Amino acid sequence: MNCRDCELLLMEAARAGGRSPRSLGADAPPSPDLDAALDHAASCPACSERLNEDRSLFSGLRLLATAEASSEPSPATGATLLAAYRAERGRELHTRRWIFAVSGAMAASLVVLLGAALLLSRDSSTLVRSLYSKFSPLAAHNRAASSSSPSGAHLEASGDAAAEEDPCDADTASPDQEEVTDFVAFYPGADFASLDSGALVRVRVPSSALGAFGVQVAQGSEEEWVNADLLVAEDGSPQAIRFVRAASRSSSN
Amino acid sequence: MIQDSSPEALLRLAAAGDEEAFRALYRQLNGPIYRFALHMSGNQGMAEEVTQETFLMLIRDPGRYEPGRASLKSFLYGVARNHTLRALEKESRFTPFAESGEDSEGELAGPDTRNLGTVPTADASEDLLRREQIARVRRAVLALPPVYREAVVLCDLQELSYDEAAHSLGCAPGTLRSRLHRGRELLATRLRATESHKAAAAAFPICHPREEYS
Repeated sequence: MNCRDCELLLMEAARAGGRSPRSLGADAPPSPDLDAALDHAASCPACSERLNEDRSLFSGLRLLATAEASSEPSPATGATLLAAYRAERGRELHTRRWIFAVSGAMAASLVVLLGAALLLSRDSSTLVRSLYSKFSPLAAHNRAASSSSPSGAHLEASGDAAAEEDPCDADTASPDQEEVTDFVAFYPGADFASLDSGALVRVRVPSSALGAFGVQVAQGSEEEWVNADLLVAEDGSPQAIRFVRAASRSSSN
Repeated sequence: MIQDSSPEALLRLAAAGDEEAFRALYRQLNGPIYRFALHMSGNQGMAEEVTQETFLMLIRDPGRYEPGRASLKSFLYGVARNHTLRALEKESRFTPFAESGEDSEGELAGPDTRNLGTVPTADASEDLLRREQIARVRRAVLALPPVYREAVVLCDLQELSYDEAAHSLGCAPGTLRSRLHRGRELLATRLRATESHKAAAAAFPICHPREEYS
């Protein structure tokens, strides 16, 4: 080993001071190398002087480190930091509360929306019932307008208003006292369930017409007249028909 | 016991809102960070400020520390180092007459008014000699260029391993060793120079009025 090779090794030996070089942990040089460097320094005056200088340097550095080993920031710094820590945690807590509140509001809105969606997906009979109540004044108007119509069917208004205007009509009953069939579409594929406006018109048709809609008619009753509700779209075209009978009566359709 | 937990575990707890963990973390690390800044700047006020800024960063953004990369202590040394260098640069703008050499060195180091009573002394003269030696080493460290000073302070005063110091400074271990070697050489040269200067002053006091009256 020459002087150049052992320069760094001697520095590490001096750095370890009176302790074993192993105390340098991961920085400790391999023991055989270190021993060889120390042997070399023992026989080389220049390296021996260098080792002494290094020891003096590290001794001074250790002295400085020891002298200031107990130096710490003032208690005011600690207090300031503790206050900052509390403020920061408080801010985080506040933010977390806001997040919870907003999430709760969003969940509630979602529940309301789902409820509304369920209500909107009602079946067709519910839709017809709502149309019935919505357009019954219109039906009365239609009856008045069509009373002079040359149509084969004898048109009559439906609902309570019609019953009041024509109390002599024995076949006319309030919707609560009636039994109705399902609606039968006039045209194949007519989507009358999705109608959002239109009118329900009460008409009277001969029993013989029921067969055209797939309703069987008892023998001998072909000459009788029965009530029916026409579902008329906004453009005036009839979409579907259903047949009506008074709840108290046995059967006419 | 929370006091015995590692700094990394304490940081996790503190980030989750455990104030006691934050106190323990501060107790463990405030001294090393403060002393690093003090050795780098030679200024107690600046060291306090750097310590405060370093821990404030930890309070506001604990997620900046990535546990897999290095120890929390190394990470904080790195943060403190950046704050110290910024503070030193800022201060240098306001000291236009400071120049390299003995005068500026003395200004940077400031008068040695710190309490050095922790070093045991046999008698008053030995105590005085020790204080003088400490002040000399401190001035010599402060006179090093920052790039060498930070390596010497971390490895030889704060006793970090070379790998930890390299992590703190964000450089390769080989680069750190090279800077350290150069820094120690400069330090030894400066200490030798001040020793011979002092010997000459003792031999010819009239030639060195500044030393005599300082």
